[in-house]
Amino acid sequence: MNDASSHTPKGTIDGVNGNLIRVTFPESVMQNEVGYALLGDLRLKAEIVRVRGRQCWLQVFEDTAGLKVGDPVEFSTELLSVELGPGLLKSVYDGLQNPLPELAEQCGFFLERGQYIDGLNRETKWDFTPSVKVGDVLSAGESVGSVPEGLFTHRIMIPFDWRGSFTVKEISEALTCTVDTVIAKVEDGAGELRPVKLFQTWPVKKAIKAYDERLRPTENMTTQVRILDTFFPVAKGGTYCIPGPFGAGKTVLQQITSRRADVDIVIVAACGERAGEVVETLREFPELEDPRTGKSLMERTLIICNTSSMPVASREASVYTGVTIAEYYRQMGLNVLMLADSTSRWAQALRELSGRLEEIPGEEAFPAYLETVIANFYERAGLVRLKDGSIGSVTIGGTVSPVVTSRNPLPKVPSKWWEPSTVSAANARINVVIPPSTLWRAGVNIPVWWIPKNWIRPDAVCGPVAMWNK
Amino acid sequence: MMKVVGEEGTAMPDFVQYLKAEFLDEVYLQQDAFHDVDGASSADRQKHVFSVIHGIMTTPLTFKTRDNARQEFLRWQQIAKDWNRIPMEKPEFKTTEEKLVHAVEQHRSTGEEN
Repeated sequence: MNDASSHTPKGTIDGVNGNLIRVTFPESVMQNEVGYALLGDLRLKAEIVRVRGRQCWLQVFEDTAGLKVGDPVEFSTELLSVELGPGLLKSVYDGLQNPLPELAEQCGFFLERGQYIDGLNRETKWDFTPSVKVGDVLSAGESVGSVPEGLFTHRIMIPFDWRGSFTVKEISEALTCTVDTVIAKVEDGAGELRPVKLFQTWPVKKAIKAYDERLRPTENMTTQVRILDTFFPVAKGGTYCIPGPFGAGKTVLQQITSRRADVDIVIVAACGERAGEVVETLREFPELEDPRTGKSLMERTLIICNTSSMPVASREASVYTGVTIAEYYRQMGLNVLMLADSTSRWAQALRELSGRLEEIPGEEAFPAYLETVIANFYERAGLVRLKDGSIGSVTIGGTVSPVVTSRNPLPKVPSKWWEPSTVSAANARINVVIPPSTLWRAGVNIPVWWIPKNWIRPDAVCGPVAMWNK
Repeated sequence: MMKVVGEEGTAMPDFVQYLKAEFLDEVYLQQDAFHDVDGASSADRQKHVFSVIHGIMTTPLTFKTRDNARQEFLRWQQIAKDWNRIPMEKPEFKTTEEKLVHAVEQHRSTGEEN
């Protein structure tokens, strides 16, 4: 939690519109900076979404009831960030990286506003083992040591935003410590010593790029679901989305994928979905056996919940939090699958914000820049070669309900998309039935890796399937 | 289209094509998520099974009547569904595969013309 101090820049509310507040500030602020609207003892977290002259607009991640003109707002001088370090796996977070079980212990069943808890537990002990020695020269993203985290070796890395090279001046012996212990000190080019802890923070809306090279995804991510692997294969480091109406089975398909997919870590970001679906995931995953390890599926899973009953503003934060954590584990040479369910609800949140900002609306009142925002998100997927030569990937799969958002989020998904079901099939509760004819009609190239060429012709199956599709 | 003209109004080759598409849907596109073997199909298994299914899809088949065609396809579907539930390393996997292929081949070689 950020501490308030007398030096914290402050502003004053001069307008409240739903979860959007307009604030006049005397000093400087920056776009996407975190601020706190003060309501008595409560500090309501918010993010600057627009700056005009001496006024800025903040979307508050909480209910704004009670806020009024003249109330103070504190600015943190930091961008909306997440904590990255050991202890992320097995966690269940809300969109702002508050661990929900701990929050529930503190507040009971009904979460109170203004309650924020550190994303990483400060009490948990980790066994650190150094991998560098004094005098070694490192750069951002390179490892100084590791701690075991469940099934994985969690690399402790030089913070990703540090520029230049750093000489190791101090490195601790193998020890058991908490995440905020300084385990190394490195010297930058200016001769200043910088402490390295087990964790670092990173702004969620900025992609982590502390790698050597971005590679072209070529390896298939086997999901063990025939209809996907054979007809709509997804590459490790690629992107896909699952469009389908309500009840078509998008979430079910994602859950099946998360269990069987050939990846190391799965991050499930439930963005604006019904709480019941998330509860199902939360109940099932700890009891399910990971087919690869024989242990609980939660050992390699992280769930970010921002259900439809939670503040709309944090929906956007939840997908960014998820993809940032995915990028972090990619930096350890792991293959990560990030599932965003659903991007339509995220689009709804963007629409709500855009409306309150009185922007010129695009189709169906969605902001005109919706496609750009979604494309930027999907572009964070990728296969990379890290500085130590190892390869890591982030694969992003999102669901889209075309009924809600027309097909707006679809055009900018960079790679490929699946069409799991027609409306009629959804009504009949027929899942994972992909009429290939739909894809031919849509003019989508189906990337296939073993289907014989002569079979991929519309006249091979399109005739009867097209009839059945009607 | 078939809904408009009915089965009787559909030419036999088109009807067989339709049955092939149904066969593909039933035995390959659909998986039993609650079955340990059928619920998770490895890439190797998918390649193998798909090559067999592809063979059936591309085999020219002839039937005397539509009922006969449907009956045969239902029989093959059942064999293929059983095949989907057998671990690949078990000998039954091979024998069931042979049973399926033989059933189709036998029909092709002895099937009557349209």
